[in-house]
Amino acid sequence: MHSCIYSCQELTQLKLVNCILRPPRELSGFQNVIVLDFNRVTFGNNMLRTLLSRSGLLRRLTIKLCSGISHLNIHAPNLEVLIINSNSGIDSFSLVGSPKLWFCLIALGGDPRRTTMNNPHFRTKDFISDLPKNVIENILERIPLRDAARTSILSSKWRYIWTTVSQLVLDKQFFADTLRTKARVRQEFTNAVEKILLLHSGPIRKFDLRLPEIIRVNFCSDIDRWILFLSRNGIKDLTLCSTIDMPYKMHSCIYSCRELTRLKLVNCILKPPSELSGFQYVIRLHFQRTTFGDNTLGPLLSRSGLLERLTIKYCSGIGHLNINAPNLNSLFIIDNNGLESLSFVDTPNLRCFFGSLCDKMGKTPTLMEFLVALPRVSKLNLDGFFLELLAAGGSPRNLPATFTLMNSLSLADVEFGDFNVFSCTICLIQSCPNLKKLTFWFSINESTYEEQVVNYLEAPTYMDQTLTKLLYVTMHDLVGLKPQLLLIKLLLACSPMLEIMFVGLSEQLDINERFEISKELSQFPRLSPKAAVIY
Amino acid sequence: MASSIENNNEKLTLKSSDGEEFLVEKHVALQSTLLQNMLDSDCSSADVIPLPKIDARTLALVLGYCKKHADASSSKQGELNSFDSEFLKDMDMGALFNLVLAANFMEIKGLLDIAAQKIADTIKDKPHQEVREIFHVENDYTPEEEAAVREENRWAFEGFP
Repeated sequence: MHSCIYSCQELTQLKLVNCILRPPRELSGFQNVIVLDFNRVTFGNNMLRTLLSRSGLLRRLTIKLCSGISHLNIHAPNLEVLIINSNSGIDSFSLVGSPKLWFCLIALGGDPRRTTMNNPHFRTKDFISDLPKNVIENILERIPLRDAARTSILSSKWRYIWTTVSQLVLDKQFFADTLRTKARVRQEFTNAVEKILLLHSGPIRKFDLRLPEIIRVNFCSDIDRWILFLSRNGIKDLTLCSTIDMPYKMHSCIYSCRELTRLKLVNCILKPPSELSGFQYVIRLHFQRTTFGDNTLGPLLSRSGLLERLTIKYCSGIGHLNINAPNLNSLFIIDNNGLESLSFVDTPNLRCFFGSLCDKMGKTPTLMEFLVALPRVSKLNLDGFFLELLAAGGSPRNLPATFTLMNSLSLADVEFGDFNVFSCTICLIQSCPNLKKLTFWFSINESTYEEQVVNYLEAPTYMDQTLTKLLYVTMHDLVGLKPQLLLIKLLLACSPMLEIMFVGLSEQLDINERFEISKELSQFPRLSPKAAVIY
Repeated sequence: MASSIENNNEKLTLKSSDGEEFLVEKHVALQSTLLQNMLDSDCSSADVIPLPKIDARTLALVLGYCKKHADASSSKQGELNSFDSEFLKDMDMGALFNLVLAANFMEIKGLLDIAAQKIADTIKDKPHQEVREIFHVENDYTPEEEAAVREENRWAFEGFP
């Protein structure tokens, strides 16, 4: 390099590749240099130090594959980016007083005898390692377990951080990621899970294992071992999804987990060892496609006194079910096989009930008995089967009690042309003076109706009270049967606050039929001035 | 009614680590559990609450978040969600980490969660070399140690170089 470069006053960027820099006779330039990039440059004696001491404005410095630097002492107050890579012959290195440095790559290559990195600001730039423990845990809980485990290799500080994460989620993604070689599924998977459990330190609060359906391996004995391990490590929230072909029979240690508050089982078998077994501290229970020992579910639930939310969906083997749960708030009983009867013994706090049956039960309470057991219910969703059963007992025109807390009623598969169903429905609506939201899913199979229904609906004073709180009505699959239209007419006529009447017409209707229905609906008088009918 | 309006207008002053003062409405400050506890325990309330760990730039961001969340009614959840996702967009790592520390210190759960999620999304699916580079984590393992760690968690490194 020609020596005139040293007196360039206005030089701000200099990039040299394959050059030699010799010490100058005089150095009057370089005071405005911002970027220096040296690649395969040979420096003369102390050359670099002299240059750097002049360059007070330097922001980026790259020294790569260079030679002739024996002592590299960087003191650059404005330095932001520093890259020192693969240089030969650096004996000592120091970096002090660069508070603005935010990117730094230093690969000295060979051991410098003395290295000083006295730059506190620079060191705190590894933000992530210095985060408080709870924040790191918060972050690691948001990434897949495998990614969390891979943080072990970042640095020695990170080696075991992931092992304290108290939530272990072994879901479909986990399987897809860990089982790349499908040949030895059982061994690989079992090994992985056991390594995770063995390395784990501290309590495991949440364990979520979902075996993918495609895996046709029986893991039951392995899962037994893991559940036992979890039961001794403070498990609070357990989700276990086995496969349809290989249902997992739950280990009996589950009943003695003192900290268990949430349990979700899918494709499992639950046979409590004795009448006295219960989930003493469980607040949420979810059973799906799970098989129970005959008539054991009721006693099990009555020994789970803190239960607030219970779901029993597509299960079998229930038999007679007496629900005795003083704290129960939400109950979902959906399409179970072999549910012979359902009754409520002590459910004063039930607020939300979802009932749907896939076949008839032998014995059910009448509408009155059913509602009296649920004095606080505010949200009720029933399907056609359920409604039919409640209706079968015959219903009084008015119930003797009112359910003032009920604000949302949803009825599915309603055969509204059936007189019993019709009168039961009207009776329900009339007993809920504070109803805000009413939803109907009409049965798509219904094509006829009983005259009696129409006679009642056409009687001018059939509904003897106004629905003063009703705001939203939604109808689905309306085919335009006379009772359906008369129901809309009735609701429009006695709901002074109604805001929206949504009418979903059945897809079977053609455009003319739709037009006829909407024409008819538009003529119904509306008690509420705000009421909008929407299709 | 009158008293609730009065309460809404009550203000307090927060002071950042670099000495800047921010005048905040009380209901906005209440988004922070730390401030809530401070206000609960001392109703007379000092004139200025110092936040020695939070610089002015970060505090301004934090208060912007709190204001949006305090003012939005619960029915506007969708709007808040889109605000949240815009809020951290294009933010550089330094600012993001300052924000996460501030949210943690001031106990603003919603903000802590979205910031932690943003950092988590950055780590997710990336090879560890890249994670090291992004966060400037210095690898202090010897090659032998590194191999041992990899062996210890072999299941997790399947498919990663």
